[in-house]
Amino acid sequence: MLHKLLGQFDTHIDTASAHCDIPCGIYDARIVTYYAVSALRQIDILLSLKDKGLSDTAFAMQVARNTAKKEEMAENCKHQTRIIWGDFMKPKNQEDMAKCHDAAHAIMLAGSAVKQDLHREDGEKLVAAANEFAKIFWASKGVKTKTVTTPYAPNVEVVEPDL
Amino acid sequence: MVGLIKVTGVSMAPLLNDGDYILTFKPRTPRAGRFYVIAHDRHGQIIKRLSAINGQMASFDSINPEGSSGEITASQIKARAWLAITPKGIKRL
Repeated sequence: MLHKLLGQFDTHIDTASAHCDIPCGIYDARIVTYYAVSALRQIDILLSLKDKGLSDTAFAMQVARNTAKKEEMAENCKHQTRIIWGDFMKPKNQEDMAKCHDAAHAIMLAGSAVKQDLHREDGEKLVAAANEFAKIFWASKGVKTKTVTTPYAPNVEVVEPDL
Repeated sequence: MVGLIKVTGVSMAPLLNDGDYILTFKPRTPRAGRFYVIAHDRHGQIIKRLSAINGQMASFDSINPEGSSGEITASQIKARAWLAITPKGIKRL
C-alpha cells in the first residue's frame, strides 16, 4: 500500500543505484587478452612498415593510423582490466588479493609502455600480464584454463577458459 | 536527517529489488554489515552493504554475488538505509 502510494510521487524521489555493470554478471577476461594481442599486432605492423617501400606520404599515414590504433588498443586493455578488477574481483583471501593486484598493476604498467613507445617486448609483456590476469580471473570463477596460440598474427599464446 | 530514496538496479537483490524505496538517515558511526547510500566517484549515488571499515577507508559489496564491490573513503558514506518499503510490505534493513 505504502509502496504504491510512493509510486505516485516517484518523479520527486531521489534514486540510489544498486549498481551492476550492465549487462549484470557478464565479466570476461578474454576481452583483456583480446586487446593486449591487438596492441601487440599494431606494434608488429608499425615495425614492419619501413620494409614495405611506401612513399613518404603513405608511410606517414600508416604510422599515424597504426600508432593511434596501438594506443587505443592498449588503453582498451587497461580500461577493461579496471572494470574487472574494480567491479568483479572478490579475492577470497589475502594471497589471491596480492596476485590479483600484481597482475592488474602489471597490465597498467605494460599498457602504458605500449602507448608511450614502440618496443615489441612491451607488447609481449602486456600479453603476458593479460594472460596472468586471465588465469586469476577464471580461477576465481572455478573455470579451468588452457593456453592456445592465436590462429592469426601475431600468433602468440593466450590463456582461454577451457569451456 | 531522514530521507526517502528509490532503489534502481538488482545488485542488492533479493533483499532490495528494483523499484523498492528506502528510508534513510544520516549515520553516526558506519558499521560493517549495514546498508548505506554512497556517493561513488564513477557510479554516482549507489546503495551497498558496508563489508569493512578501517579508519577512513571502507569497502562495500552487494547481496547479489554478481554485483559490484569496491573501496571508498568514509566521507563517501552519505546515509544509512534503515527501512525498505517494498510491494510486499516494510522491512528493517
